[in-house]
Amino acid sequence: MDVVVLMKMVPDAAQKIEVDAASGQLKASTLNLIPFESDEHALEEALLIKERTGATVTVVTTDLPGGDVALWTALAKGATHALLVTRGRPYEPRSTGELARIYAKLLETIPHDLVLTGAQAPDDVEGELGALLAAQLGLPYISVAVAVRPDEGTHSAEVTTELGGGLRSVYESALPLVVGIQTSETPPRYAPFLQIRAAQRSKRTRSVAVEPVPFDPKVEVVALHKPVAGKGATMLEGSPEEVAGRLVEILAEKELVGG
Amino acid sequence: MADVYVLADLERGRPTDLTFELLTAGRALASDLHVPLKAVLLTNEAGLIAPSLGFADGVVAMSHSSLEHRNLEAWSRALLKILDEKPPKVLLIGISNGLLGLPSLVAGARGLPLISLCRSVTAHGEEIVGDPVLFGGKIEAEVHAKGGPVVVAVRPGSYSAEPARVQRTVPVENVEPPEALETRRVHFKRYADLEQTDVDITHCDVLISIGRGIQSQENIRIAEELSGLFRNAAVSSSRPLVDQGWLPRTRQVGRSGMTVKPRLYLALGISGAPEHIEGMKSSETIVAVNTDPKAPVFEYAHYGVVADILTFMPRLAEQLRKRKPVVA
Amino acid sequence: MDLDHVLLYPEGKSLLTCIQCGVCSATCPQEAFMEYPPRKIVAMLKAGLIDEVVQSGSMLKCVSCYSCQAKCPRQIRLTDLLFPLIRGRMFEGGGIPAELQKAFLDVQRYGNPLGRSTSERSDWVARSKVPIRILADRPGPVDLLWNVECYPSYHPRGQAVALATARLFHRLGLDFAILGSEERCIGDCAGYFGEFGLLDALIEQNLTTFRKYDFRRVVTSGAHAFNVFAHHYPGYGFTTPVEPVVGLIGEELPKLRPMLKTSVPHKVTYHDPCCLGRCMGASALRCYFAPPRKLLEAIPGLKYVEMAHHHENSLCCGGGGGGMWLDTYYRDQGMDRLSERVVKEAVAAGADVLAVTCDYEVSRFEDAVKVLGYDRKIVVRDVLELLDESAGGEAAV
Repeated sequence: MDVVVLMKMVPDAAQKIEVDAASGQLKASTLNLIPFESDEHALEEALLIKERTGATVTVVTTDLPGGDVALWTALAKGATHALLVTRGRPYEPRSTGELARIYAKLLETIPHDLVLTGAQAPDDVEGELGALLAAQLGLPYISVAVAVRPDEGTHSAEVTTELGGGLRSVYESALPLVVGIQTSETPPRYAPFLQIRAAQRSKRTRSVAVEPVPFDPKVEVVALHKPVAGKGATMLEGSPEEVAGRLVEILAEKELVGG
Repeated sequence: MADVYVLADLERGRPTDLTFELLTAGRALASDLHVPLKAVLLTNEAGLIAPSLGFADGVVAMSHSSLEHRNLEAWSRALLKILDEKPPKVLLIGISNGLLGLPSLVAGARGLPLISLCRSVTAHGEEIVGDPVLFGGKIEAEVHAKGGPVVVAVRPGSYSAEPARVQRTVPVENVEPPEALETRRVHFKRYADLEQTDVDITHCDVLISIGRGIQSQENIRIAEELSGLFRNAAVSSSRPLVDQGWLPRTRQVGRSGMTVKPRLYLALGISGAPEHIEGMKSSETIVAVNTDPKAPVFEYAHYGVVADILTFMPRLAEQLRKRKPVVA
Repeated sequence: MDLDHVLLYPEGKSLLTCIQCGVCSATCPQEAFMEYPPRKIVAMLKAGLIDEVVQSGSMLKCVSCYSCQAKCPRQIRLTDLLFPLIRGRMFEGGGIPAELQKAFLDVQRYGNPLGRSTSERSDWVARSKVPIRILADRPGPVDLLWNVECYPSYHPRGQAVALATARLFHRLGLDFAILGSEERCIGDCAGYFGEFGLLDALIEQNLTTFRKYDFRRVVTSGAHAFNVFAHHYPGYGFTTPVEPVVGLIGEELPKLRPMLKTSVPHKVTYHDPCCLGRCMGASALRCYFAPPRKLLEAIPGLKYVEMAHHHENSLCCGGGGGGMWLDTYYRDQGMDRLSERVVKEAVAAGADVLAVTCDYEVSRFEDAVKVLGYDRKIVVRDVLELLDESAGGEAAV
């Protein structure tokens, strides 16, 4: 069983994200890229599959800043192989379509029964990586997964997905299969720093160059901007009755209560 | 043909609120483009559901047993056949958990322009313009798409569902299911309700969240009553109440509890310790009520009320009873 | 360093000198909740039962209060060497509660366990009415490098203490500066929980930053940071003198005393933090039992009362050794929180103010006060806040 985890580096929303007013694009110098959280869950799910079935887990990301650390961390957590795709381009929010093509090309050369990636990234302007990749490869795709149970014998997998409101649905699919992971069955494990450094020294991360993929973007990101938001609350003043009445009106405007 | 299509999102055979939100969005767009608005219905028995989509000018339907439950592979194959046979100008798909990924599968398979994560969609002449919200709301984008059909994925809660809840007989165009549905590899097996002993506060639309200002355990009843006046609402709390054993751990919001993003977070008597803020700051609308005007919670709230919650809660309940509960 | 190799080192060999007297277990505030209390753990390690100790989870309950180590007649390094080594092994089995894991990840990523942006680290400075120099903006020689630490930088109550501290420094005419967004966690939770790689990385990074600037001494707002400075930084060649803020202000008392004019009419008790007392072990010169008490007693109108546990017998607040991020785990295990025990003791002593000097404690004890419902009985203030109030507070600078 070969499991491939695709990790994407995204700007850390806990840190400041600045827009360059002149160009209307993100200020690259202030961006802190981290592995997308759901991709970390995809890795955890893959590691759980490895522990249960002895599968090999190959983790892939691109050569954006922090990509190497993400791979060392994945190795420290127990991944079998780590591949750094050299692309030599800075981060941009509209790149998922191109990334899907690059990974589709890469997957021609590496064995894969299951391809796991995060269900939805915060920069998916032009769609989700897993779904775009599945469309490229002509593979089936299941999203918002919370558990993946492959069966080597029948070469299939049972996938549980989260519909919300406490409702889940269960699918069965033939392999190979691409799965968008929402959350792993147990929270992503912590990699102690010494093991990350050991993985770094072990030189187990392999760089692979993928030929430039011709890609014609179908949409144009015209401008990025910070949302206009005033800091602090609008204070409602008056007697408790008046304030309660005013608040319910506001809630009604927002359709949180009926008319 | 150059219609505006809205794909109906179904859960256990019923259109979801998101379906109606998108019909509202689709109507405005169709008017701008001067084209008809059509609902696309993928299910096992379209005839039963079509009349509930009466807000649309017509329904494009495909019926097949594999379409009964949302199944991305079956639904994408069905949609592709419809797009090939009757291409629209725009196809709107709501981002529900059940449909997440479908816009990408369809656009990816045919090389169509796709704008995802949108709150709204408009037409500027021939161009379709979406406004994706990125990085947890920190950045907004403006994205233009030319040509078509343009696929637009729209976030829930962006449009009002109410105007689109129209029941009437509408013209239905049936499209034959493709053979590809017979060779699909993904099969829906079953629904699984979570074995839960308590409500899952991460899936509530409204949270009535109480803190130390509630003063005594029996006062929690007042918050429960308030919660009963909203749909899909529950009482949650800050850590001290859970530690005192007044509420179960499953109701705790914050760093050591749950991270929640409801449409409405009503923080009652919660001062707003950083550990608590971390678990609720992404809520869509935050209303804070506290006796202390300097309470840090007001820095994160959209609306604030300086009041004793024990006085305020009954007044609020009184006002809410005059209205009917609605939540998308 | 690995637990299996610990016996190869002289300090590890000292384990074998344990005479099983049991003082460690008797003095441990968490002993009642441990499957294997300290004495038994040492006996099991001597018998080679390392995995049993690791798997029991008993070590998650150690809050690095140093009670056992301080009282051990053989001076075995239980708190700062042996127990962290055992806990380091727990990372392999995934037995670490999620909240604590997140704190470590946040320290790795942002240099603070609160998970806040590095660029926001000095945001509080904008609220200061007195000038605070940030070295990156204004390099050049300075007497005191003030290590503000994480909670005073990010937590609202900690920020209030940081602002009070800045006003006191200003009143005393001290030449001080901070690192601002270049500052990172000194390494407490990493070092005492056994995340040695992270501690190592933090020290290397901090020393690299320190080398960029010219300062004569360091003053830290972190009691835990002080402990790590004292025990771990010298091994990396860092020999600059380090003092906790309360020690530095204590030395300046003659100069400060005439400024303490406003009466603070409260009954105040003081909680000795482990890290400024017991942790300093035999080096009694580095214990800070006296300065905070002298400072409090210099405040007009203030009546000082002592709690039942004080000085080297002070009860730990339960926040050390990762305990700061294990409160929910402890409650789920049916354990009492040590912070609540301290607050009860303070109330029992008749105090209406619980004074502290450890950066974890203002928010910790305030939380305990809330949980106990003692809001009307007692408030938690840093010693520095009380001094600042007596000196006229924000209005008087």
